[in-house]
Amino acid sequence: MIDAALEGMAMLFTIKSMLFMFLGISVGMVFGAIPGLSGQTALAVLLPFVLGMEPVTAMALLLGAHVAVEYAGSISAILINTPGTGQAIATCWDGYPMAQKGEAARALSISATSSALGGLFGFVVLVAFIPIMKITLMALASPEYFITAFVGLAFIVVLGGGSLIKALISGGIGLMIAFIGLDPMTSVPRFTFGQLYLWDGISLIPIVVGLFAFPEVAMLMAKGGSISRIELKGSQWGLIWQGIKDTFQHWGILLQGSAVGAVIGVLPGLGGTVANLAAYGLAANTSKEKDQFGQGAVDGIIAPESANNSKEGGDLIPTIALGIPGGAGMAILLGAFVMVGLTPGPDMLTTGLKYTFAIAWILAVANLLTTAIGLLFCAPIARLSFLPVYVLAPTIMAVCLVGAYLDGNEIENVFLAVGLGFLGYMMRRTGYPRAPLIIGVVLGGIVERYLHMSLKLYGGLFFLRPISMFLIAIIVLTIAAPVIYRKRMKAAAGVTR
Amino acid sequence: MKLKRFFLFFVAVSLLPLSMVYPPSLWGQTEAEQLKWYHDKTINLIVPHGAGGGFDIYARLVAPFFKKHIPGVNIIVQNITGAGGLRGRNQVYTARPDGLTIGFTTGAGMIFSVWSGLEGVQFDLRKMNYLGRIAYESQVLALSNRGPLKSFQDLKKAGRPIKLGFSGVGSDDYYTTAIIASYFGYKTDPITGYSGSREANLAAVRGEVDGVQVQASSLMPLFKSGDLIPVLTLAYKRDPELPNVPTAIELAETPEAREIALAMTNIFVVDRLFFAPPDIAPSRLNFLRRTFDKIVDDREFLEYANKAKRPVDPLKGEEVERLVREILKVGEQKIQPLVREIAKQAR
Amino acid sequence: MKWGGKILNIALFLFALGYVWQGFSYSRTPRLFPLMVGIPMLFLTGFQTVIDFFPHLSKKYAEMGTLDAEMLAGRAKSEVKEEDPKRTQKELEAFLWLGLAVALIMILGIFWGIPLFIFVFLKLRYARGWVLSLSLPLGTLLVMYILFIKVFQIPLYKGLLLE
Repeated sequence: MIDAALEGMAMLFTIKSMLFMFLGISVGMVFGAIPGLSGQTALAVLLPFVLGMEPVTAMALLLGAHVAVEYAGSISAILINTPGTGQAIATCWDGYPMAQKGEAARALSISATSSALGGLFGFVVLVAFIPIMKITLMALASPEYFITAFVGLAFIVVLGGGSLIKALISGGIGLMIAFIGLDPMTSVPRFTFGQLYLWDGISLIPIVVGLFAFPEVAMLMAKGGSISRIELKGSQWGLIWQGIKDTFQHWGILLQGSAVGAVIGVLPGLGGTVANLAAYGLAANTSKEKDQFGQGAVDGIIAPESANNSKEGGDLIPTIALGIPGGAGMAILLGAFVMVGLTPGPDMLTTGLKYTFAIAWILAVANLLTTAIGLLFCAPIARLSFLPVYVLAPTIMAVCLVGAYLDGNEIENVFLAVGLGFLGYMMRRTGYPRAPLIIGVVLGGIVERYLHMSLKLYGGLFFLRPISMFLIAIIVLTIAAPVIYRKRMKAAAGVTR
Repeated sequence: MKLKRFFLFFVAVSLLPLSMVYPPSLWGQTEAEQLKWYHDKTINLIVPHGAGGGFDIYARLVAPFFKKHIPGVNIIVQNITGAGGLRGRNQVYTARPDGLTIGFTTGAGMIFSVWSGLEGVQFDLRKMNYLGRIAYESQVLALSNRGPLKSFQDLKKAGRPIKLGFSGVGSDDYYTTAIIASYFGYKTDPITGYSGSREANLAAVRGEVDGVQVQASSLMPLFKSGDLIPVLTLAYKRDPELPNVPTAIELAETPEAREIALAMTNIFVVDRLFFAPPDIAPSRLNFLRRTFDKIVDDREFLEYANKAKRPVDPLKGEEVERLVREILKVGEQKIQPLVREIAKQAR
Repeated sequence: MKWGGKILNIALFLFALGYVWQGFSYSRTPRLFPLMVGIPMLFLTGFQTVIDFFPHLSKKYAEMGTLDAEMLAGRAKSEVKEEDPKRTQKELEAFLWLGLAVALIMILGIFWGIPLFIFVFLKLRYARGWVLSLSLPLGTLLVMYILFIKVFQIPLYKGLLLE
């Protein structure tokens, strides 16, 4: 195994492969930062160039782009409260407030560093799992998916902050939106009123753009000034360094977020969107800064950003081991595998082991490289948050409207985004939290499908499977522990008073 | 001599209305004229499937060769997913028939969407224009190795409906498996709700469902590793990489079953095809078809496709059209009612 | 935003009502989840609508969340103080501009509509000079051209005029 590892590394560290990785990262960054252009589109665009390339060079290009997209999505999340990809949604919730405090550079740097470390975690997981890949995949089935998704829903309660009822209403609306479209079980069109456009449901980007970006633009125009409420004060490097330190200091949440990401990565069908939301939700429950969540908490950025990168390692496991893509980007990667002559499956773990390691190395290196580039550009990117409103407002509107269209090439999305923008604005002004709505939208479909299938395949007591019970136990412990701890501290403090 | 003049006059007069129907400008526009027309124009190749998927890759492999064989033309590949491919197919069908919009999709998918009475279908398969088929994949019914069923005979002896995994009602495999089952003597219990065929495949490997219907090439690794057991293929001949797996036609035990097996096989034969809107001028349609023929004959293209491990097994546009009409003729009587019934029962 | 809250509550209640009504028209399997969510929603939105008419009740429930009173007080302190009476009007104005952007996109398509929108915005709304008002739209045009037309070849909406 060691020589395979070394061979894989040697294949990667050639000038050609590194150059192509760099190219891939650049492309990925552009696609990631622009809302509406997804990682899938980036990979599809790069795919034709891959023909005839050597396997490792091709992988360097594609995986480089893939990794960069994960990170770059957080750039627009932090700057304009709109995630560039669905995997950066949760990053908005604490990244943007931090930018508003004039600390965009810090947020960007936290995001970059967490992404790198999360990705490394994913790399370690991938390598560690190589011997037992198949067994793991066999053990996880519909009930486990359902429990993971359902717990994510339960986190709505936490993210409510303030009125529980309004949080539940918000989540409910999200769920109701999720059910629009063809029913996954019987393909009956629900709530579509004859519109073919609605058959696939409502795309995520227009919803996010509408709910989060447009209200902020409106408030910006009313307030004047710029995104940051504070004036630009000289060099950003102090903040950047602060962000790096922050990430290492909060290593607990870093590990937790990475773990969540890796687990979700292994379950094909739950994507990066679920990973970053789940990690955020869990952190909101367990972090020491939980009252700061939504106001610019450091943990609120670390958790989702580490999760959506560590997920990559997890995603590759079913892709390499069985040839079954762990995520949307993986499906394209698989196509590329075949195109360059690699056959996913047991071969990759025996005769092709060096390629598997090469891929793992690529993941690790691409993560580090992306972060390095990200950190390098933190300063100029952060300065964007100090631009005056008359430049920012039209630009944000333009980017968001175009982004809404690009998600599926549907012009109806633009109308949808504006309509939801108005809803998001009303919600913001009247105390309805918006985060639960997104969670409902993302998880609604997943929860419905897996509950139906779990019931059909395993009967009513499906959650009594050993792995399910294990999952439930872990989640309960993770949430209960800090609560009990705090109660005990309060009691102790009460006694001494 | 008066007769001759009268005759000539008669001929000239009768040609006049003919020229209204076929204006001289379209009378066999020569190839050179077509090439000149396409120069500096943009062809929109619409793929009603996800970016980077199996169909998309084929389309993107072919696209640059349009540019090679029609110098000066530009071609853009556009993925228009939605409603299971319906949106993209509708868009091609309703596009202007000037030869600048073409599409690439699965014929089987289109046929089933029409037969199941899917609302929103805007196309008529008899009017659709077909440029050519590039390849077809044999469909394989595969069983999980972790389950008790290990061969085709087991399916009939099972004594219970066979649980097969699908990504949703309305997918080709959904109808195909049900139709084959009903003519071959067993019942299926469809488990829908998986988020894609890949997830359904994983469920089959896991043993969560009894089996799935898949494309032979994409799951060959799982056949080789023994995780999935292929028991039936839908093709004219046995797949060379799966010599022990019989075809549906072979397994048919009654003449009726044989006819249906043949029809089903035919449906998947018109698989990966390029299509265009109806009512394109005949000479332009012919030009596009011949361009397609040139591409699939092009050595450079074949090398490319080979490197990308995409088989090329072409069928001319005229042949595809003939086959489609044949399928519709037989199928509308025998298979369409069954498909409608299955669709209705699913609700 | 005195009435805004109440209007939103009622709108959400009506949405839930329509949703449940429509939900009942589907058969057993498709209607299950929508109704499982819709019916409780009906109660929740109805409840919220009603209590918002009673200030002391709505205050009590507004604080019944996962953050305790202490945390909420802390948050309230860090919130920016509002001074602007015309705030709502100005914010709604932004949506009018969004509407204009959408209209321009629909007529001229993305490629031409967006730069025109930016120009109009800069010149009319904020009365900036010609240099900025022209360079930003032109810059946008350039970026869109390079990104979408030259390099990645991703088609943009063409607008009703040019279709």
